[in-house]
Amino acid sequence: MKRELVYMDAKSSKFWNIELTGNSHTVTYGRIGTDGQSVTKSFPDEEKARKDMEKLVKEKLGKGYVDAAGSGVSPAGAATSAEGLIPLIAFSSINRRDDIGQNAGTFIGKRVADYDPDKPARADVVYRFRSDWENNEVIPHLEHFLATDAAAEASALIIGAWHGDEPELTPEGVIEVLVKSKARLGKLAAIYIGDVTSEENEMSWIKQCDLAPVLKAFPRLQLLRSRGGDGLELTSPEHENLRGLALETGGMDVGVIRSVCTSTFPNLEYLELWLGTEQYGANHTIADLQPILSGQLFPKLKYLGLRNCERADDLAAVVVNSPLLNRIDTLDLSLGVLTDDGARALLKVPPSPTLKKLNLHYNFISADLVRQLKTLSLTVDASKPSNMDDDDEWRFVAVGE
Amino acid sequence: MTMSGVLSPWVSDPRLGLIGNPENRRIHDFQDAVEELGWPRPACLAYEDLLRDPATLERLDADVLRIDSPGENERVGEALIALGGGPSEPHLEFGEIGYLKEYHRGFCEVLGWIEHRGIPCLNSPRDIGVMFDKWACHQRFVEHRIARPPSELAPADFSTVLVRMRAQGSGQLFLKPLHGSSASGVCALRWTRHHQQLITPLRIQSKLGQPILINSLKICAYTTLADVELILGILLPQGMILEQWIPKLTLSGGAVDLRVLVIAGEARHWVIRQSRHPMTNLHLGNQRGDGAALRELIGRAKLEAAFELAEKAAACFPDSLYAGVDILIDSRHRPLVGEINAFGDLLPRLAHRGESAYTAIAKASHAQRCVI
Repeated sequence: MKRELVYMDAKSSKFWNIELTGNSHTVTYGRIGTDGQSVTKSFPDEEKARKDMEKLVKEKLGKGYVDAAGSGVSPAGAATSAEGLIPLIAFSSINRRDDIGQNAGTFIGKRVADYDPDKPARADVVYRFRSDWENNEVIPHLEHFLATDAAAEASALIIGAWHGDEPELTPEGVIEVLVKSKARLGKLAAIYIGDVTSEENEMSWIKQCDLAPVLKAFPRLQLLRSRGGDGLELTSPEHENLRGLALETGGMDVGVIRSVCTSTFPNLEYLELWLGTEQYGANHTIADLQPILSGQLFPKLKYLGLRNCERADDLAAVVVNSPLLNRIDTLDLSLGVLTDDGARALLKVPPSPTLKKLNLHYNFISADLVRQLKTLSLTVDASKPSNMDDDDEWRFVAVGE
Repeated sequence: MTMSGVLSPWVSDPRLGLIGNPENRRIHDFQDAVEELGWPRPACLAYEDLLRDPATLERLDADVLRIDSPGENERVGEALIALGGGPSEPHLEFGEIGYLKEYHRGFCEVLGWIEHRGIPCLNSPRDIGVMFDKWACHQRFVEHRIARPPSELAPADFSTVLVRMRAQGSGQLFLKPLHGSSASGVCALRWTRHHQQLITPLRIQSKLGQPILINSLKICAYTTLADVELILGILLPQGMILEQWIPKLTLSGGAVDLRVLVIAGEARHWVIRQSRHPMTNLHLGNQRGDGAALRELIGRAKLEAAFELAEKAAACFPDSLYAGVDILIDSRHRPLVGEINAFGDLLPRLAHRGESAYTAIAKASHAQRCVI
């Protein structure tokens, strides 16, 4: 008996395989693309070895690992399939609350490096372009990169703190450069605009802009990820090939939600919206999400993330009735203010032929209800960061000021 | 390190003396470390006794002195404030920030007494005085071409700061009390035309109808202009340095900086301090970070560069055997000196070459004494 799992987030791309032979099992694990290391453990009998294997697999699934088969991730580490499709698992980035405070280490399963014009550009890393405290170098560095052969091979790009020490600067200028050079970026499949940590800017202060020109310029784009809600727009939300849309905000403007609800993304499989709080710009209601929850949009959707939501309880109460649950495999309500009320609603999630995973990481659910949630025939992640302020009278989303 | 006279070369086993607050673990942990090395347990002259009667210093029987922190003792704090020209009974609430200038002046006065006594010190009283003045430290570092965030002396009133904030439109900077210790009174301020945010381990409390600032183990974010004005209105007149807030390197779990203990010119014990807030000080509920993850991210050469910078920073204080140097690493992995701490050696449960920080200092001080 054998089980092969993979995991990806903003820090790493890992595999974890386990093989049962007689009364022992062998775990092989490591970074995708390496051979990894193996540990063999023996048990008094076959039954005990199998039980232990099942326990380990369950633990891994709970941590966000998925079966390699069907995930599109090949053990060799090619992050994209023969058809050039990015594996769905590689769309996720911030899996844990603690990932928010850190710049991306990997993106679509590839290693991230800050672009350095003094070093030869490589095709196997994803470059991040940003300004630092001394120099506003994002555009010069980007232009330098665009004139290299690596640009033509680049499957992904990250725009970090474009604003340097001017937090009110939008990424419009950067986007203009990208759009102007679209011919140089023929293979661009994923872009992340806003890999900005709280050291660099407050998330709710990041000045975004209309990201529609990016969609328009790159018809082969599969994933658009952005951070920052202030000024964020998605006018003309249309794209034939877009498979993933992830908008991280501290407070989402209702206009953005309306754009998503009136969009034409026929191939969208992954939708991650950080709804945020009123205090930081959220001016929507749960009802505004109804077109998404009605299941009429996005026929190919597999992952729905409604994260960092102040009213996660209300959301949970509504989402359990969504016909979407019969189509998607993952529902993610993590990073929000989900309490026992929301947990009770989620206990009533109807049996679904597709739904496999419920992500509730960072929550305010009591131990008792966590236990009850674990009895659902789903993989439930109800973990909390080790230093979470649980007893606080102030219950707050993962990203606020 | 140069030590003036007094100590004769034939003194084979010189007696070490301590000045500190004997109830503090800094003192007994150090005494334990010395004793474990097989040397006599060094006696400690309490600041409290010293402040009550400076003649106790004359009776102090030691060949070498280690001056430790006067902090975390209310009575010592009050006596220092009084000595520094403040009221004889300052009536500070527990943890209240006040009379920082007077406290510093009082402490410098005591350092002057110690210097006058003429016993060689592991860290010279003069160096310690400078290390407790952030502006003097900054100038010394700039003089020695040590990489430092751009800094300046802050105006003494908030209205001047506000005018500059408005003129600049937006920005982010640290405001640190000139004479504060650890993160006490440190403020991370950032603003745009529409928002302001001041993050600080302080809480606002009311005393006799007046707002006061209390050191807090919890880092708080203040987002109204009124709160920012209130806090800085109390802190600025006590003297602050204004320092560019350079985005720190981030690892899983938050931003990091390094505390490097330099002993006898060599970077020894080091710890990564990690926080989801702009203050990484470990007593504020922050955690020690993952050294392997840092090394993997920035590479060995950049880490070595950080240690070298710590050594260079400590070398700006040639009359000090040891110092705790805080090193920031920016997004390009370049190191900068955050601060230097005269009493930055409280690093419990941290070994380097099998020695605790105190053991290493005790050994280094012994080696040093034998060559004088």
